[in-house]
Amino acid sequence: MHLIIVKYSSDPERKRIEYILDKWKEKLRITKPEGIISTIDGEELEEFIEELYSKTSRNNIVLYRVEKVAVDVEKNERDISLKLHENKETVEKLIGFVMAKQKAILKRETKKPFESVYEVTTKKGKAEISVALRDEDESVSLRLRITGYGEVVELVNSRLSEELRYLKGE
Amino acid sequence: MNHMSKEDWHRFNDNVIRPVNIVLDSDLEKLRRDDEVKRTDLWNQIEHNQNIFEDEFVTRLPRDIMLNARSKFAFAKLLLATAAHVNNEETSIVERFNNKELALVERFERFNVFDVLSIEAIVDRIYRKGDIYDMVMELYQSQYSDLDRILDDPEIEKDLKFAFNHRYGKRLNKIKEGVQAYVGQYGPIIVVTQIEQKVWDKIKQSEQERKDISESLRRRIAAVASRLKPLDEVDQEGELFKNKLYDIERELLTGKKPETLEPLESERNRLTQSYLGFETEIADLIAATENRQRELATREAELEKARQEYEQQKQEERQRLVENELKEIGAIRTQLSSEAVSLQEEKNSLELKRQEISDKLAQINEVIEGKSIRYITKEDAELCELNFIARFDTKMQSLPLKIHSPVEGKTYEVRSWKEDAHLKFIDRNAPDMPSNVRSRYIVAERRHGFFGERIKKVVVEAISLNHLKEFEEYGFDARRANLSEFLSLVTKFIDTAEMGKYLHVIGIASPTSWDERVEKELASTSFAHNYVSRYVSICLVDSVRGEVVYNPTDDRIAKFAEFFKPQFDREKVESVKKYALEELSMKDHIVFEDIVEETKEERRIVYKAFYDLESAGKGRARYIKDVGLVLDAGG
Repeated sequence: MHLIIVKYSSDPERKRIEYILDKWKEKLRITKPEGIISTIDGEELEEFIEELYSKTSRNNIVLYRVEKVAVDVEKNERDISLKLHENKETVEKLIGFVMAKQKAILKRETKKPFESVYEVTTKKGKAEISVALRDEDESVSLRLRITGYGEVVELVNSRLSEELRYLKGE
Repeated sequence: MNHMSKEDWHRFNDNVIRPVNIVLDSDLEKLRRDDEVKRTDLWNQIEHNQNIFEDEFVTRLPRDIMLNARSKFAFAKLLLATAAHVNNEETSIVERFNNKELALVERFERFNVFDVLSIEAIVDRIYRKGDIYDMVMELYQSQYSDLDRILDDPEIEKDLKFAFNHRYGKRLNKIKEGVQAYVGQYGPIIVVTQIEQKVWDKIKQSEQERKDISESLRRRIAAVASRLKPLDEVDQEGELFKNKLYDIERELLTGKKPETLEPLESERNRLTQSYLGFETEIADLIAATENRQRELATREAELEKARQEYEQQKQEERQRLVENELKEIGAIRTQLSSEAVSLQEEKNSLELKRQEISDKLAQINEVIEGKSIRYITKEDAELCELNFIARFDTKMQSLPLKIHSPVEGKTYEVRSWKEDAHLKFIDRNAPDMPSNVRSRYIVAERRHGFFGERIKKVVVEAISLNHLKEFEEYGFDARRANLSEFLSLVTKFIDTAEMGKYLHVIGIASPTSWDERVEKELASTSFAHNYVSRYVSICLVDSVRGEVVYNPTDDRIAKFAEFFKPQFDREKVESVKKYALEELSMKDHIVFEDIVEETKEERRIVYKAFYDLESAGKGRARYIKDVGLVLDAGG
C-alpha cells in the first residue's frame, strides 16, 4: 500500500489531479482516507498513541508505517537545434514571440551561458522548454530542449518545430 | 556600489519598468479581453525585466523607489494572473498566486466604476438600490472595506501590499465617503435581501409615486410660472391706471367732473379680466397641489400602518426602511404645503390688486353720481388721529386691566405695562398731518412662569389709517377707506397671529370713514370665515364721528370696542348741532369754517356735528373749492 500526497495551487489544478486519481481509482484501488491524516517522523509513538486513545475511540485510529519511495519515472526529452543567420538580439525577440504564441511562461533565465527556461501548460500536461543561444560567426546557434512527463513533450515539440520552420526560412 | 547614471535612469524608466506600467495602466476588464498571447508576452517581458531589475537595479535605486518598483512588478503579474484566472485559462501563471490574492484583485477591480462617479452620484445610486448598491453591500458584508486588515493577512505576498494600497486605497476611500454621505442623508444602509419582497414593492411603488408627483408638480409650476410672466406688465398697467384714478379724484374734489367714465370702465374690465385669469391659473395649481397632498396622505397612511405592524413585530430593519420612505413623503408634503401657502398668498395679493382698482373706480363713480363725501383737512385728520390714539392709550393705561383671551379661555390681569409691552409705530413723520400711528399693547407670559422667553398671549392694537398720499398732495382727503386697503392691512396680522397662536384685537380708525362695502364685508359671515380667524378680532372706527362697527357675532371685540371709541362732549356736540340746524333753516347751506368761527367750538366737535346731521338726513356734506366743507340743507 502507498500513501500519495499531491499539492496543488489552484482549483483547476486540483481538478486535474482529482481527474487523474479517479482515472486510476479502479486499477490501483485508490481510496481517500477519511479523518485527520498526518505524517509522523519520530519513532517513540506509545505515549502519543495512548493519549489519542484516551481522547477518542480506539476504532477511530489506524496507524501505518510508510516510507518515502522514489518512483523512477523518466522525464521525456526532445531537442531542437537551429543555426540562424541573424544577430542575437533579433533571435531573442523572435524566441520571445514564439514562446508567447505557445503561451509559454518565462520561469527563469541565466545570462552566461544565455539560457531561458519557459513552462508551457497544455491539455496533455506541463512541459519545460529551455532555450539556449550562442553567438557564432555571423550566425546564432539556437537549442531548445523540451522536457516533461508523458505525451506533452511530443506535442510541444511538434508545435515548436512547426513554428521554427519559418525561422529557418524553409 | 554604483550610483544610477542618467542613462541608467532612462533605461529603468523607459525600458525596465515599462511593461509593468502598461499592465498597471490597464484594468482587469481590459486585460482579460486582451489576447492571451499578448498577455503571455507581457508576462514574459515583465519576468525578464524583473530579473534585470533584481540583478542590476535593486542595489542602486533609492530604497523607496526600489520597494515601490518591486511591488509594482509583483502587482502587475498578479493582475495578469487574475485576468487569466477570470478567463479560466490553462496557464501556470495563475499558480504563482493564491486564491486570496486573485479574489481580492478581481473584486477591487470591479469597483473601478467608483473612480468615475461623484460622491453625489454614489449616494444617488446607492439610494436607487441598483448595481452600485449591490457592490457597496458586497464590500461591507465581506468586510473588504477594511483594506489594512486584509493586507495584514500573512497569506498575501508582502511585495503586493504597497501597490495594492496605492491602487485601491483611494478608490475605497471614495466608496466609504459615498456611503457616509448616504448614511448622513438617508440613514443606515439596509440589506435588501433581508426585506420581504412585499415590503420592498410597496416602498418602490411609493418611491415612484413620490417621484412622479414631484416631477409633475415641478412641470406644472414651471408652466404656470411661464404663463404668469405677463403679470408684471399687467401690474404696471394697474399702477398707471391707479394714478389716472388719483388724478380724477383730485379733479372731482375741486369740482371738475370727467365727461364720461366709459374708457376707464373698459380699462378696469380689461385689467380685472387679466387678474382674474391669473387668479384662475393659480387656483388650478393650488387645487392640483391639494390633490397631490391627498394622494400622498393615502400612501402615508398605508405605510404608517405597515410601520406600526413592523414595530409591533419588532422587525427593525423593515420598520426603518418604511420609516425612511415615510420621512421622504413627509419632506415632500412639507414642500407641497409651503408651495400651496405661497400660491395662496400670491392669489390673495392678485385679488387685492384687482379689488383696489374696482373699489377706486366705484368710489369715483359714486361721487359723480352725487354721493356725499367725507371731507377732512390734513390738520384735522391729525387731530382725529391724536384723539383716537390718546383715548385708546388712556383706556389701556387705566390699570389694573383685565384682558380675556378666548384662545386659552383665560383672563390676564395687567398691573403694569413693561417697557417692551407697549409699542408705537408710525408710517410717516411730517408736520400738521396724520402719520398712521399704530399703538400696540402686548400681554405676554413667560414660558415657564418666572423665566423663559415671553410668549404673546393677547395683543391689543389701535391703528390710524389715513390716505397719506392724498393729504400730502392736496392737503385734504375725501375718499372713504376701501376694502382693498382694509384687507391688505389685516391679512398681515392674521398670518402672524395664527403662527404665534395669540389673540390680536385690532381697532382701525379712518377719518374719512369707511366704504360701505368694508362695513358690509366685516359684518358678513363669509368675512368671518375667510379673514377673521380665532386669532384675530377687528373693529372699524370712524374717528370723526366716533362710531365703531364690528361683526355682531364676534363677542370678543365687543368688550374692546369701548377702548377704540373716541370720546366727545355730548352737550357740546348737541349745542353745535342745534346751532347748525337753526342756520340751515335760514340758508340753503352752512360752511364748516363759519360754524367753527361762530360757535368757537373745537373743530372735531363741529365735524362730528356736521356728519351726525348728515347721517340723520338733515343735510348733505359737499366740498366747494376755495370754500371747503359745506353742508347743504335737506337730505
